Amino acid sequence: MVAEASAARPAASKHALFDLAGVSFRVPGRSIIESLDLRMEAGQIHGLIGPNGSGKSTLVKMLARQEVPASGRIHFCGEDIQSQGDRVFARRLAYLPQFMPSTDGMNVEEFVALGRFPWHGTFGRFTVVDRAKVAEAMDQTGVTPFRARLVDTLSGGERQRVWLALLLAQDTQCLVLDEPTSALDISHQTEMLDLVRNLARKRGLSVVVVLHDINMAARICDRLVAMGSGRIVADGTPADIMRADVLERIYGISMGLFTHPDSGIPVAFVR
Amino acid sequence: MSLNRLRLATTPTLSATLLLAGLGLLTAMLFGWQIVGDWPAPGDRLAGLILFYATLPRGAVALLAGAALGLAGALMQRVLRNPIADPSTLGVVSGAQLAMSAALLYAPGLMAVAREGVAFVGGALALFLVVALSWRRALDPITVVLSGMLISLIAAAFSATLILANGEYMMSMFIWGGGSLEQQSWAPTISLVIRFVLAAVVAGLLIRPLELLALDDANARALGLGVTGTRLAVLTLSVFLAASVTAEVGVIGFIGLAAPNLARMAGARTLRQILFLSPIAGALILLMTDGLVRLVSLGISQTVPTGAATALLGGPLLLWLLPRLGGSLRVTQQSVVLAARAASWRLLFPALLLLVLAACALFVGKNGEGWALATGHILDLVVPWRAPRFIAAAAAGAMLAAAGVLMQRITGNAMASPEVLGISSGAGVGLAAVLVFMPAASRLVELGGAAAGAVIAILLVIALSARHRFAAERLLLSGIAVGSLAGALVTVVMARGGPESLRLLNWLSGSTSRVSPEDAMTALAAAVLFIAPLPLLARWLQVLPLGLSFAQSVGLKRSLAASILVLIAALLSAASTLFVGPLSFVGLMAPHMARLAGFVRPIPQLIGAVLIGAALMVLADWMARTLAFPYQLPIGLVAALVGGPYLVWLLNRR
Amino acid sequence: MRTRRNLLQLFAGSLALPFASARADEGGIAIVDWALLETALALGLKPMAAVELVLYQKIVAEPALPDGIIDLGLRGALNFELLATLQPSLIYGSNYSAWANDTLMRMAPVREFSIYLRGQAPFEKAVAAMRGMAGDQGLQARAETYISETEHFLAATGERLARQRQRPILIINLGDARHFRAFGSDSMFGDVAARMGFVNSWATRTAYSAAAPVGLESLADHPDAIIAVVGPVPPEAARTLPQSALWRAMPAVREGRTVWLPNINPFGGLPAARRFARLLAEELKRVA
Repeated sequence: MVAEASAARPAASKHALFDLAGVSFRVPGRSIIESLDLRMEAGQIHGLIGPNGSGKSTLVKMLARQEVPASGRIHFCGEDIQSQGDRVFARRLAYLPQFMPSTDGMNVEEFVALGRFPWHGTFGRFTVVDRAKVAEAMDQTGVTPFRARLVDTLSGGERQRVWLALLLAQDTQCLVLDEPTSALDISHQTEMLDLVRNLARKRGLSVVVVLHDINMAARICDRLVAMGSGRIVADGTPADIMRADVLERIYGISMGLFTHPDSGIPVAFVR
Repeated sequence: MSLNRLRLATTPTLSATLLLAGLGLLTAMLFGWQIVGDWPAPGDRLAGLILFYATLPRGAVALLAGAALGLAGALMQRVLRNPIADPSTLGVVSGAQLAMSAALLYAPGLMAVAREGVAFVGGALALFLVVALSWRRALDPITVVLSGMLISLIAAAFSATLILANGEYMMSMFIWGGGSLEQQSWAPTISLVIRFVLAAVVAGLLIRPLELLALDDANARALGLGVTGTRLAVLTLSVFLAASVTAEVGVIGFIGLAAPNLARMAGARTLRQILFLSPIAGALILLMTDGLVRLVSLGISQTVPTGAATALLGGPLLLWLLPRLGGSLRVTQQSVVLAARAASWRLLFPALLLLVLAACALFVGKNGEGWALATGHILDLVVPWRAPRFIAAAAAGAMLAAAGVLMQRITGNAMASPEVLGISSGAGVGLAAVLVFMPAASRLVELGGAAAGAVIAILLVIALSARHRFAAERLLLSGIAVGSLAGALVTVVMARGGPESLRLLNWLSGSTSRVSPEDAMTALAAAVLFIAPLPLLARWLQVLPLGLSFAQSVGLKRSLAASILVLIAALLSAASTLFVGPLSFVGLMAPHMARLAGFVRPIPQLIGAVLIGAALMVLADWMARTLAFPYQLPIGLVAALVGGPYLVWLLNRR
Repeated sequence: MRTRRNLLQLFAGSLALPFASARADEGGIAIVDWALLETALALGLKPMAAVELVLYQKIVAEPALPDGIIDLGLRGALNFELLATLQPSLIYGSNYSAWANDTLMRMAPVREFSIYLRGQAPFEKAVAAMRGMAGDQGLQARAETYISETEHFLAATGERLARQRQRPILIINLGDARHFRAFGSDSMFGDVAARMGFVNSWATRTAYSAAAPVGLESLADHPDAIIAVVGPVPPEAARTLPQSALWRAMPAVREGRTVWLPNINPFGGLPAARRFARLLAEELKRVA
């Protein structure tokens, strides 16, 4: 168990979080992602942005091993992503899907506890450590007050926090989030993303997050990767991306920027 | 004709058009060859009459019945937005057949004057039940077909009971079940022409609203369409078509499934094209199948009925369609009924119920005079007979319930139950093979045959769905396909009408009366052996309903977990099928009842379902034994009649 | 005419025999097969229990059921519990009830007489069944009388139909207005017709006494035959057939060589054989 646990935390500094070389993904009759090269560093928050159909969702699905690339290779923490065992991988990377399934009548605590599966497996005992990790995850996401409620009866924002708690209970070094805010109103979007950023900082997590709102992305990410038609069209810090010409290249419409009066961060708008 | 088709189809691929044209040519040649074969020698007046009153109307009825079923299928697929809907998968045909059998026996006068009306009422009732069962899941395609299959199975069990209880017109009912196109006059042709033309005109009038139905309900409604009314009208029309065909020639399966898909292959894309081409495709398929059947049965006095032959095509057709259906069959997320949770000690209630029913089953029964409490000497006499039945019923109920819990949790579909694995039908084929090829075989050989059939069926299903990582919809559709193939094989054997048909019918209707004390102990042992390890796998049962992607993200090897659980479910239902027949209804019902009683987590649900399933079967067995004493009812049917209405109510409760 | 009256008296006489009670020192007998039930009743035995008596009265009709026989339910779903409480001393069954033998033997010894076997003529087997049962019950004399009466009756009836039996006979059963099945040489009807001196027009092999249903137009393959339709006839077929041009064009129908017989048990014993011969002769005489 000790060996496994240490294996789950490779020396993050030495290797890139993700290293993609020549990665392609096709569906019959169409290529979604074509020969993509990309490197993501550990300990950072990466935002994937781009218009609909640009391939961002497919890319994160490949990063989370939900899809297998047609060609090319993906290294995760220095190892080939396909060579890692299912549970070993699930102890290193937690994934939040875009469309979340109904939770089959489970209450919040039971559901969050499923995040411990990679650690205890099918027959292993649910230990004190497991219990503590679940409690911590629920505390940090603020869902402890409704731990006994059914997940399916929660509001959108609460449910999103419960899912985040499950990901934290997985106790991984890396979170991959596919549009975690798409169903939320503006205040819950902000709350959710701030929570992600604070937790990432506090726990030293690496995060890859797909976001639609460029301003939200610029606010919380360390680095933005913009995709279009299965290729990378821009890659850099929020400051590099938040420029009128770059944004126009990404979204294909004319955009402008102004400086936020309180924080001084640039804010994009459609002209 | 092929020229017309070319012009109609906007983007016909060459090969598809060639395929249709080739099919048309082959069919025409087959039929032409029959006409030449039946052409009268000069002066042979009788042969001329046969050509005119048998051969020609047979061809005409094949074309018309095929066209009517093709149109019915196209309409149903459109209105339910379900590419695998057709009068047979939705239970309409079985419902019509059951109504006709019942009317023949209990209201022969009605059958003489209103055959089509009787068939229509039966078909409409079946469809109503199917819709009621799947309403809460927004008529999701797979759920609709699962419900249709369930209703078909129950209707078939009902028909079997009627046939067994009334020997007089057994042959008529076998002929309907097989679906024969034999003719001796033009009357059925004329009746079908009138009905088909009428339906085609109404379908033509409904084209605009039907086109709007391509949008989802909310959009269609926003465009001012009465969605419910349109759906109702179109469904009524398709039931009318299918019932007319069933009334004239019996059960002809899967033409309604094949025809619209063939039309689509030939390039039909718009609704108008599909509605125009489907009847043509259906007519060609049925005429060709009938031609082939006649070709094959030349010189053999025992013919394969045409309807059974088309049903044999149905299973492979579904399998072939599977990969082509793409996303149209994605299982929608189920809206779980959120019951108040019950504490685990409440599991004592179903346990207590089981005990009470067990006491009832042992002590209360009927004798020649009426109800009687067995005591003393009489008790000693009856217990050796009642105890094995009650033990086997309880074990079978428990195993089916456990299999149902597994299936519903693996697929995340509330309508999944053991019979969708095709196991009971597979066991039926194995038993049929033994009965046909070794008429004097011992009970052990029969059990062996049934077990072999079940194993082959489950291996097929696993092989078919393994490539797709046991994704819920693949698993369900593979099971449905294998099940309908096996069901068609059983129909073919049954249509022979020999003594093996009766034995098969007896088995199909489900009974505990043959259970020996050894059988009962074996069933009990199997129940304990297969159910006991399940709590160890509770974590799989908790993760799997959340879907493929979730299982993967928490590091569970879904394929491994699902295949092991499917295998256990298969063993459970095979074991119960062997001893008491294909009684899968309990497998659907018990898990729901357990969940709604508040046993939501895997282990309590499993225990609750096992107790409830056992109790249900013991109750059904007791009722089957006593209600029509000394005659015994089929236990599966009693279970379905007791639990069915309750289940419909449960599934539609808000 | 004289012979006929004599024959009928003989026939009636054999039916009027008082029922012999089962041996006093044992429990009663139970019979789980219709052919054997007929046989037992013809011997004057009154079994304590037998199967599917409701339908027996409709389809088999004779020998008539005496009161007081307990119904054991469907042939395919025997009520074992009821039978067990009756504590029979002996159970008669056939290959059709062989599936239940293991279970039945837990209650009483089972004697099996099979009359219908694939490809074998049943009449002699029915005779053997009657002899066997009579031997068990000490009724040999009665059995021999019944058997010789039956054989004599068949031969004599055949003689009286000397003119009719110049033609072959096709014995059929209607499934609906479009299908019939024919009874071949391995059926009781076919065997009895042969013993009456008829040639069976259905020469093709059949499995267990009757072929699978075939289309009505196949009747045209038997242009010279007399057609005997054995009941029950589905009401819908009875209504539509007389109007059917094809049916009316069949030589046997056109030329009035078709007879309709009431219900007869196609899987019966000697009494069914006798009933078939009698009804066939009556109907043929009537249409002649």
